[in-house]
Amino acid sequence: MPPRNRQPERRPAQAAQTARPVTITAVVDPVAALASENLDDNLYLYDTNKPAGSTGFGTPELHSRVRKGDTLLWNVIPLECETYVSLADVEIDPRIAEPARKVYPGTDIVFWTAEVKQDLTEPVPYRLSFLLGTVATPFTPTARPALAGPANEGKEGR
Amino acid sequence: MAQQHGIIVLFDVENALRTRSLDGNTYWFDNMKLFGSTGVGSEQLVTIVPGTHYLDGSQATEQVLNWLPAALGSIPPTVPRNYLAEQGRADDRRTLDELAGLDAAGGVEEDDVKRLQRRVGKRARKPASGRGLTEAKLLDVTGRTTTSSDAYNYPAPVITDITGPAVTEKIMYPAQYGSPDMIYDGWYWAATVDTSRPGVYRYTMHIQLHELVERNDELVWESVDLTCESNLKIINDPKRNGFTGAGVGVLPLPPVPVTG
Amino acid sequence: MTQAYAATDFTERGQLNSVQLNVVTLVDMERAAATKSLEGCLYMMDNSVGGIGQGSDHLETICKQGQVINWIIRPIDMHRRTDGTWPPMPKINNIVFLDIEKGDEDDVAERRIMTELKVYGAPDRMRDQYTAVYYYWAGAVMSEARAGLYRYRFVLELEKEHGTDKLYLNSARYPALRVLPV
Repeated sequence: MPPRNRQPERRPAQAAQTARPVTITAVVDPVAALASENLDDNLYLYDTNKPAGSTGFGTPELHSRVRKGDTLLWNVIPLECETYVSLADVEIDPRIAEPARKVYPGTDIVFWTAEVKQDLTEPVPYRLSFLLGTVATPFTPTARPALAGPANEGKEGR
Repeated sequence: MAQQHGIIVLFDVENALRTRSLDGNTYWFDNMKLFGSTGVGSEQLVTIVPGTHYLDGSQATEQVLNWLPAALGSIPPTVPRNYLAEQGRADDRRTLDELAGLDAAGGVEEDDVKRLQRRVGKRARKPASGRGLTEAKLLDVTGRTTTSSDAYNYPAPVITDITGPAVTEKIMYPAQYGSPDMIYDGWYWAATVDTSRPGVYRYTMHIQLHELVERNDELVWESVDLTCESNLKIINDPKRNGFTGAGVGVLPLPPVPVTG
Repeated sequence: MTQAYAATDFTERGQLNSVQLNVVTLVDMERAAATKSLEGCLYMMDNSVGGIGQGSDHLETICKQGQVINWIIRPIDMHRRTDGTWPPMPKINNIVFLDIEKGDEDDVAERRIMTELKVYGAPDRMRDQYTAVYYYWAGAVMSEARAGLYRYRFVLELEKEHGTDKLYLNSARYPALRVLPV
């Protein structure tokens, strides 16, 4: 069996700077989530890495294919322009990524960004939590999205 | 008036420009899943339109559809565009002020010039025929001005027309309406629906995407026109009291107030 | 009806400058026609967070720079009658922002705080005789508007129960936008 912990390759730093970040977008229906008390049924995740093999589009269990050095960006689209949703937190193993909370310039609209620190041999699930409407406690879906290594790598990690 | 329908169409613009097709790159949403819309989040959305009518057959509620196109991987449509344009102008004013303050006699610092150049950013020429690009300045996906033409923010996709059986059979009456938020030069598409003929009706949406190309040493936005389809499902029930499930009338209040 | 601001009204409470705000005004058309005044005839509410005066005629709408505000006005009685006719309707002719300086509160403002403040709802083209035409006021708070309280006056046009002439009235009290910094 191939060794689980591989030495991460060195990558030139500037490759990450001009490359497009991998955006993970959460489309949320906050009215339906609050009315039915079910966020999972009203949460749809997508990312911009379909060509690299990301799966689970349109569900809360998005698996995004990423590599070490990729910049990740999480943002939210609410289904109605008169309702409020924001991403309260992105919790993931800090050895893989350490997401930081930012706002789009001159606004109070939140997005989170992180750099992938290691190549992934197995999918790493992470936790998103959302603020919906005027409810002060964040909501978390039951199902978890994950970051995964490139599709053609790691025959042992399924 | 019944709750307005919001139909969001999310396009994977990068992929759509690469394949020159919206097939497999379009995700449809509406806010009526609780009322029976199916395929929310996929390419096969069927939007439920629950019409109600009075006993004399006239329409009791007006159903309004509103469309909002968005680009996956771009700044979300919730960030007000005119706001960003105003910020861009304020940035330029600050840059001019700083330029005016530089003392050329003492020798200008290269760092200062570089910083100002970064803030000025890069502009791309808008095509005469393109629509909906309110800023010519390039932004990156976090909303900052950028000089890089690799990781630029895709402008919002623009709906240029809505056609198909749902329109020709006069099931819905679409038009563009103005908005204070200059996302699409201030226009968005909305339609009212005639709910007297139940059934499933298809419609085609004509979309314009914009791609940044280099031509004769300058950056230009070029428009790319594509189409995608969706459906409306009209149902028609008699208007009913939401509390009792019975006909419209007074609520069944007890004759004597409950004590205790 | 809330009368005073709580400290928590000014903290981050589910409010973004991306959320479109609706300020809804209900008009007691009968009373306005009988008294030829809007005193005691307007009931205002918004979908913002906090903001005193909900339900009164001097609502303060909490908002932020860049936020879009839609003004919707309705008569209290607005359903089609059994004989097929409609009750008389109100219409906003103007929303006039007022001077913030002491002593000049009835005068028009010296500086604009809203951009694109005008009537919306007409289609780009009548594509069919049934293409919908709406009528409502809206605008966006300017990104450079300074935080503070901005009072405004309504000029309303009221239809009459009988006859085609209209009644034009000023709002008796001044509602306001309370702009918070982003």
